[in-house]
Amino acid sequence: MPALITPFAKDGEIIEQSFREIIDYTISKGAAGVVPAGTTGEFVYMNMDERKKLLSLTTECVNGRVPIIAGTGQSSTEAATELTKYAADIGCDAALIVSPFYLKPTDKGYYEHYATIARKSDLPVIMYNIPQMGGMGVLPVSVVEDLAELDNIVGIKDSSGNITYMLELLQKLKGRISVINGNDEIFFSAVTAGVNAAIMASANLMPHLWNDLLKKVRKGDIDGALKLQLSMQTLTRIVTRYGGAPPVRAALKMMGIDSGKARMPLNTGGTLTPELKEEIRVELEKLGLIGGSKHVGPAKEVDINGVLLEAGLSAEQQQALKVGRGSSQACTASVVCGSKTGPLGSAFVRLLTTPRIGREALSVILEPNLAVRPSSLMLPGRKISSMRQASVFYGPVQSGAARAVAGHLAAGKISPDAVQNNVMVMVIDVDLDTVDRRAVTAATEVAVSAALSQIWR
Amino acid sequence: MYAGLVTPFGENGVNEAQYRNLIEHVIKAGANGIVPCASLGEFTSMSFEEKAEAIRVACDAAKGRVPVLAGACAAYTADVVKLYLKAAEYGASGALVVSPYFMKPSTKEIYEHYEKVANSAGLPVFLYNCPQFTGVNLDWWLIEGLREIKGIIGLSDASGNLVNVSQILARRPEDFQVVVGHDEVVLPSMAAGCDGAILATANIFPDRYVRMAIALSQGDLKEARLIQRSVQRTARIVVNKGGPLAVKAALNMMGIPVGSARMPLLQGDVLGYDDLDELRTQLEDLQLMPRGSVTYRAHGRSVVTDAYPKAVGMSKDIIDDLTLLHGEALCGEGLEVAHVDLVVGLKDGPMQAALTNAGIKTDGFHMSNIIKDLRPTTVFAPTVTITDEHHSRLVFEFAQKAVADAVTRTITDRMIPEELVPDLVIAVKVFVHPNANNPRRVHMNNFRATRFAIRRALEGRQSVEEVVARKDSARHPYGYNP
Repeated sequence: MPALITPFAKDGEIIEQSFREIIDYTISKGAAGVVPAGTTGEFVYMNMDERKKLLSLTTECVNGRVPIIAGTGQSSTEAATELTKYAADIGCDAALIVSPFYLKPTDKGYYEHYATIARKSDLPVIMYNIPQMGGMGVLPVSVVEDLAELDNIVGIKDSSGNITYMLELLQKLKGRISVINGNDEIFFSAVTAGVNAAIMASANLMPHLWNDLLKKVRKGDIDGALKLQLSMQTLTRIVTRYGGAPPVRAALKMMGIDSGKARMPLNTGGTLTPELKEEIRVELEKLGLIGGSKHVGPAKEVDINGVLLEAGLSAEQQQALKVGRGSSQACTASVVCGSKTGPLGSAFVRLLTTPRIGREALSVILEPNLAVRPSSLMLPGRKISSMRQASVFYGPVQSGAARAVAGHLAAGKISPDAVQNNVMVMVIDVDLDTVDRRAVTAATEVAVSAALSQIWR
Repeated sequence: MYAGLVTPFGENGVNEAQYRNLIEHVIKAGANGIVPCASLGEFTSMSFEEKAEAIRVACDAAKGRVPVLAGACAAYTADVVKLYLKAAEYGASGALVVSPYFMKPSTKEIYEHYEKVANSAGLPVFLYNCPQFTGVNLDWWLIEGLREIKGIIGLSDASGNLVNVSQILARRPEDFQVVVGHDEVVLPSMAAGCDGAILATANIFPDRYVRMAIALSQGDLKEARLIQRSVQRTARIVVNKGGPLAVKAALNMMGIPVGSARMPLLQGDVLGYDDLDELRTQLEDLQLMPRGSVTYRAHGRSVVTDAYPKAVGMSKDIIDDLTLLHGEALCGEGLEVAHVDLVVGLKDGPMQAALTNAGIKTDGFHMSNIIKDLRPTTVFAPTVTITDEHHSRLVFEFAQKAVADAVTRTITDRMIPEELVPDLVIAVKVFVHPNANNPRRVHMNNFRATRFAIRRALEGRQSVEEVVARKDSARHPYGYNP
């Protein structure tokens, strides 16, 4: 079941049409139910009236197609009770109630909170443990055991991702109430352990894949289930570790579903940076949830002469430089080396200070604060068009290039005089939309190393 | 005010000469006592024999001038007792006994551990609470029991947790001493009633803490605050960036050789290369860094600057080629992180290219500009695509101001002789993340990154040896899959 996001307009109003679209999409993809106004729905930023309106809108949109588990949790017991009663009145099927936060109780307080709501409202109650949110405690298992005895309490959603906690619940509750997984990253582990349901942020995007996974486990295809989980692992990791709602909202947008805006203060791109957004895109492509962009492998040869020409080096001047070329399956590199007092020194300065946009040169570094010697610059063989592409070039590519230089230094192939008096410029081409950064690091190290070997024999 | 001594190591154990030299420095600088073989002494990386040897040397070197509170620290109770007996034999005044670590013992087991030690012989015992290392906190109610054990006379609390310490202070009998062992909160702890301190940074400047204690005893809170503030930044690095690593780096830079820390502590790791530069500049601010002459060779002549801040092991005596020097630095945190690449050199060399192209707008290329009214001539090259007005302000106002401030600071730091200033050009490439938000941190981080990168360019850091040594363990922050 999806923990539905709430699409807000710029003025903060709920965009009904978009909300309807998301519900239709998830039901069409096999969601077994929907959960409005949970954590992913940003319940904490909505007042009582808005939450009532959202629940009522949900019943209208769902129109009996699937059960509705209404997020009715609040820090105040009285407010949570009122909202749960309301959810019962309008025909929701159950209530998901987050454990009280901010001014948080201990055992008896948790017990009385849930017992009061369960007693006063006529709706099955699902408890909700999500200790990773700010100011939350862990719902003690012993309290959950006691609450499981109450008629109206039917389940507990555990979003902690703590598998030892979840197994303790399964062991001690003995099936008396349902244990529901709320952490996308451990879905496979939870269902193989015997959990039968999940309410997850990423089920806004791919409820069908989660259903497939569940079916595989039930059929006993554990290997297939694990493979599917691992294919979604990066995306789920981004979703669970970067606030839930912002990544899901961004992903829906990429899938062509208007997901509106978040409410302040969670709307500034502080949690979800541009490069992370691009990572989401790559993952959605991988999972076939959006059309794939065309991957272009490394060029056969990179045009380092053109780069140097543009940086002010004539063809004759270039002839005096030592050039090396190297390639591997995923990377092509050309390296030039020359005296820093000569024209390459000027090109070095020029490339660093006034580079072509999208082809910016950076120092070759093993990691920040650890630049290689001789002083070296690297620039991409193709134009960089996003922050993510930049992070691939100035990440694994930079790392691989630096390792290649460090390897030559370690082998004593670069003379102390060259370390002192030379500079190098490298042009390196890789597929910047690549998924596997480790492979890029390795491929770059091989290609640059081969190029360096032609210079430092 | 005691110094929690670092231990200088040689090829065969403790380097006695360096250790004695350090102890002389610490005592001469005013420390009221010394503590060998505590956390700062890297006791977990020392054999029993080495710990005993360090305590012996410390007792001998102190020559009765100041008390020696010997670190009798080990996880296993019997090891502590053995060391404790050795400390008594060598004439230590007391023993500092860390609470058992790694395997998390219960309160009963902690209690019996201390009881066994205290009952073993005649040395007074100080409890030692440092939960950041042991994994177990000594809560006030546990202290209330432990302090009743005969032979236990006090507690050194390195937790930095003033809530717990305040409770302990409020409930203690007068004869139970409580000292603070966390350098960042010395003043509040002392003001709350702690009797003294055992500090890492007291290896470096014990005199400041002695003055703080005197000021407090005279009721001069204002003076005490000034002193704490003067050491706050250094204390933050030392406490949070690898304790002994940072203290050893500081002492080595100051010219008090203490060697390197033992593995797995290594420079460039928990004490980052940026921390190292930061530590150096702080010691300069505290006027603890030696200054001396550095000769620049340019245009066939030699120019000398005579008050260059010469960090031993970092700076050079001669900078013989000013054609084109290249430096890089990353400083700061989160979205406000600053990453600077820069080049420095003589105007008539390759640096000419930076001047020729500055201020010229070419389609499809980034534009650089010469910063107004700045010496030496500095080219500002923000090669980042500006996303909006806020981003533009962060780059062109705050980062540019930071670069200008760092260049000026390099001159006032007296790193470059005045005579050479007209001949030099600096070109600085900065990066400001489009989602950066906090202008003050953008300024501070770019200021530090530029200042450090200039120093690295001049001094040729990091060295080839460092690059080679870290080839495999260096970890690029974007090098890994999300």
